[in-house]
Amino acid sequence: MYVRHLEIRDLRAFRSAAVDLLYPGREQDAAFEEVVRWPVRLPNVNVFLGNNGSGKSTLLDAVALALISPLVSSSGYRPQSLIRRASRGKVDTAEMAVDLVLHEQDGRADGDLARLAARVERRGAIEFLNPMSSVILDRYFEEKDSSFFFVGYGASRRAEALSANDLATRRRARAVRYERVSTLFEDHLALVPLNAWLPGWAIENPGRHKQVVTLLNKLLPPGVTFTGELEAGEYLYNFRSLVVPYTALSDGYRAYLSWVGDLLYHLCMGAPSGSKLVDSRGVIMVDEIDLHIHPAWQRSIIPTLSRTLKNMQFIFTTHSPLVVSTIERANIYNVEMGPRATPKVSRPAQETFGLSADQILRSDVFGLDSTRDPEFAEKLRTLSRAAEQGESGAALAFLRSASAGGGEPPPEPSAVPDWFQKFSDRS
Amino acid sequence: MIRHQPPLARADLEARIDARAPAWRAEAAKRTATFLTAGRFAEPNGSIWSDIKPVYMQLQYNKCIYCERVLGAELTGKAEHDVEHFRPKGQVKTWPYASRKPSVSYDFPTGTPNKTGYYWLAYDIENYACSCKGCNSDRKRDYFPILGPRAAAPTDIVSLNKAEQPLLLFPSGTIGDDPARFITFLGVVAQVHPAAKGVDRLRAQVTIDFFSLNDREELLADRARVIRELASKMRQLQDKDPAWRAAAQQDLEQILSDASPQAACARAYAELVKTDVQKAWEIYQDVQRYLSPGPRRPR
Repeated sequence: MYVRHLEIRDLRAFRSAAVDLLYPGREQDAAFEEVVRWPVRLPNVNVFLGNNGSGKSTLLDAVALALISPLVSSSGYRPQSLIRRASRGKVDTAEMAVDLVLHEQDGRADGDLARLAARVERRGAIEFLNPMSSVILDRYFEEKDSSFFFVGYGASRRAEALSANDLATRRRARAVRYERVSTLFEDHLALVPLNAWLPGWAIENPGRHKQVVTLLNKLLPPGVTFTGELEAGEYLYNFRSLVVPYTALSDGYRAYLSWVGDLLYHLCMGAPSGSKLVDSRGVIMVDEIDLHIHPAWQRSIIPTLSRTLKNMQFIFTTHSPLVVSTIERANIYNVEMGPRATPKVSRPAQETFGLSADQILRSDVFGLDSTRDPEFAEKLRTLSRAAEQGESGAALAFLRSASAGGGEPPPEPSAVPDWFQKFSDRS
Repeated sequence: MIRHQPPLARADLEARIDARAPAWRAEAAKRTATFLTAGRFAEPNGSIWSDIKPVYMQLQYNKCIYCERVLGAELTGKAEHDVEHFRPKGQVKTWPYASRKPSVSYDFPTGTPNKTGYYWLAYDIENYACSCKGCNSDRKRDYFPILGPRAAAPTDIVSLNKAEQPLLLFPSGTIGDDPARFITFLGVVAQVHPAAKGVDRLRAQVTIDFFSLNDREELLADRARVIRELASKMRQLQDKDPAWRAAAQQDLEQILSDASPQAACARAYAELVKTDVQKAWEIYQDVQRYLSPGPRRPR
């Protein structure tokens, strides 16, 4: 299952918005007709870019709410403050809808379309989320397979110590589909840590276990590897030349592993045995993908996720220009405050791509050394250091990164023209 | 960074100053005497070094001594130039300072701070150069990193240069350094010259870091423009019209001369075209992209 299209009305700060999303195999239809390069380099990545409070998380929440709407009444989710607060007049309802592409994995023919819509209504002080779709999606109400797979991770994600993770207790509190997106809505919820479930698989299903270890290592940044070995109940990681337990890793790695571990858990639970985990389709939403992640890694995180889980559709939010510089215009939606105090969602304008990327970079004025964003400046600094030391290729990379965000890959170098060669040959 | 040719000896510099402000050196000597007596720099009635600023501006073709940025001309742009004391006159602070961004650290000591600085050099004409606000006010300030201990007061510059090892390059005068031996450029990026070894290497590195020669976009953009300009003249050299070719040759020489902005970068690039034409061409394409970052529509 992938999400093709999202529409919302009167949700939180939004009056209305409509967004078309990329997913693996999407045709270049009307929604993307102005994109010059097709297919997009990372065809499964969507990024909502904006400042704090711009409304980008609301878009993620809207996708999740529409997706859980058929079972919301028994999911454990409680709607709160979803309906827009109007300064004038009274708004009593909000709406959200997603258009989906379904697959065999969802019990339908590949390419089937479906629409899930929901309406939020207010009665007194209480909000109710009601499903509005009449489509019949039998497999949707199963909990033990990989149909209709979607996960979402809010900005307060973290994995909990083993004791708080009695998986049976979790099941009583929330339906699986809702649990998979619950950190988008609930702040203090812990994710499922690797050591709560993965050790069992080593014996029960060694093939699957091996897949998870391999996948995890592909998803980790250079310099850190997952050993798959336990010590005193904690998994061990190679960090540079050290072997350290999970608890000794820095916040950035832990924050990343917390949601990646949870994702792999849900992926493993659903995938039919004998199937490859990377073949699973579905939707992965991550709020603030750059959370706690250092600049060099920010440059690689989205491409790594996208290429490793290439059958998954990703929806991220971020305010890091470094993250943005690894993707193309077609991957990006800007979420910014528009007229009448409501957020506006738009793609970066084609004609001003270079400029607008530059504006993103210049939005936080750094001060002395560069008008670029500090993190971007730090990245440039690393590159210029390498270039100073004469590292081959670093000087070129520096110029490329410095030019307007480096959103598009540099063109292939052309052959040296005659006039240039002639100057070179001159004594 | 370049040393302007020919580098002046002290006597030549004195002659230029006398021509500009005949009474200046006598007054400077008088003030220096009071600093020597007091054992520190104090100037209750204002300094007079700005009076001879134009001498240095002229020597440097109105460019900043450190970053080679073109600053204002004498008639209207004097205020853009600072008279910079290579050795700080009032005090010396520790560099790199903790809050510096981007942060740097070295595995060698960079000199001890003190409260009196090189007070006896406040009016030494060989301790002056003109620099931009970015290099002087934002970066140079009261810093003067050296390797090893600081020499004792009061010592003249020539002896000082033997007694203590400055980590910054001072590209001015016969007593100064020739930066071409220390720093070169690959495209727009300043690099430690491969031939620089030992202490020379450290000095090149510290100088690049100290003045943020690779972190200031205005400098990168200047260098990129110079490379674009050079390439356009190289193309014009192949023109059918001999008059155009001659003009191009003249312009080329101008671009590579001391008087041009970012001359050191221009020279390094012209050299690279001869030694590695492929890399030079790639850099030129990147420079163009950098200078005009708009979208490239497929043709």
